[in-house]
Amino acid sequence: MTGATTTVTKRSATILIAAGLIAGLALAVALAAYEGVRADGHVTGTESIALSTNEVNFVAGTSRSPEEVWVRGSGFTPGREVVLLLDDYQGALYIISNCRLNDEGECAPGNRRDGGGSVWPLIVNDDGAFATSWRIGRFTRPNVGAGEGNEERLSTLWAVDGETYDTLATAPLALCNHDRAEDAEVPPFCAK
Amino acid sequence: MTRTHSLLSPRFALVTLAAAVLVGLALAAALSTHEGARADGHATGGETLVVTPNEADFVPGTRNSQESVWVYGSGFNPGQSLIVTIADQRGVATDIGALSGVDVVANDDGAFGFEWTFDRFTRTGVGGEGMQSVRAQDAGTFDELATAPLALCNLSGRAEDAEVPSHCSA
Repeated sequence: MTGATTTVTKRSATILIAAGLIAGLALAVALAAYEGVRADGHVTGTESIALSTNEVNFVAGTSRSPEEVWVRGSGFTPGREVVLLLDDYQGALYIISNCRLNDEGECAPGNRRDGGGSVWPLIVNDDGAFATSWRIGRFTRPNVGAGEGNEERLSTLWAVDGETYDTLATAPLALCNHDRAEDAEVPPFCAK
Repeated sequence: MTRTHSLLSPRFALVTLAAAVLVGLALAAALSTHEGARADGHATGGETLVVTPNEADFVPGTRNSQESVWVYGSGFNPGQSLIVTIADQRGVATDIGALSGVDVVANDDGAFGFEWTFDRFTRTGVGGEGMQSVRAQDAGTFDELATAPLALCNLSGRAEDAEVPSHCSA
């Protein structure tokens, strides 16, 4: 009698191929499910923000500005916290939705004139909406919202998830000096 | 006498298994791509909804309010039928296109627009003051495609000593 040979039967080959196909499909489904859960946790895909105006009077260098811009959102996940961001004089993102804090680190409505959001924390309501008013306040000060050469600018206002900081929606906001000298050039993004 | 045994070499088994796993993954990827194409039949991914102004004078209890907002959409599929809704006081979606007597259909440029006059929506037990999401949905699938915020605020009828809701400017 000669030795054993390594021949494959049709049955064992079929079982192997079927097992491989099932494993591949299961792996793909598992990966897809993981991605879905991650996305569904914070994102609806139809988030939107609208501003009461897309151009606000911004006089760089003043101590405080009383100007306010309403920021309203829709299509967000109910119950989530939203944080609003705007670039500062260096281009770093600056939280504009927080209230002003006192020395004890507590929200101090009396400090509203210094700027910040009117509602804090900013929680999305049952209809997926929110609203807050951003008072510019001290954002006009040098080396806060304005630096040399970028006193007037067109910025993106970002609405991000309060936990993950994922970007959920954006809106344009032009910071324009409506008190500029009469002979000064009006930037192309400013109406006046 | 020579006998044939039904044995597999480990190498052949591994190669077959790996090939089958790859085929399974490719099949899953192909199916998911097909699903995406089907979904894209209704969604362009660039849909935008605008309600202007986004804060409107809404005096609850008025029988027939003549206040209105404009609702605009863009980036939809041309010819697409849409339902635009807002939640009433109980949270039930109300079709504001139907209330306005408008069949909301995206034009050849993927856009639409209509004026929504509040009319009876201000009546007691219908709409109410609140921060709302206006929603545009595909009329066939009810998939939500875009939203826009709208603050309904009693700007002209609020008592002087009444508290102003946090979503309202006055």
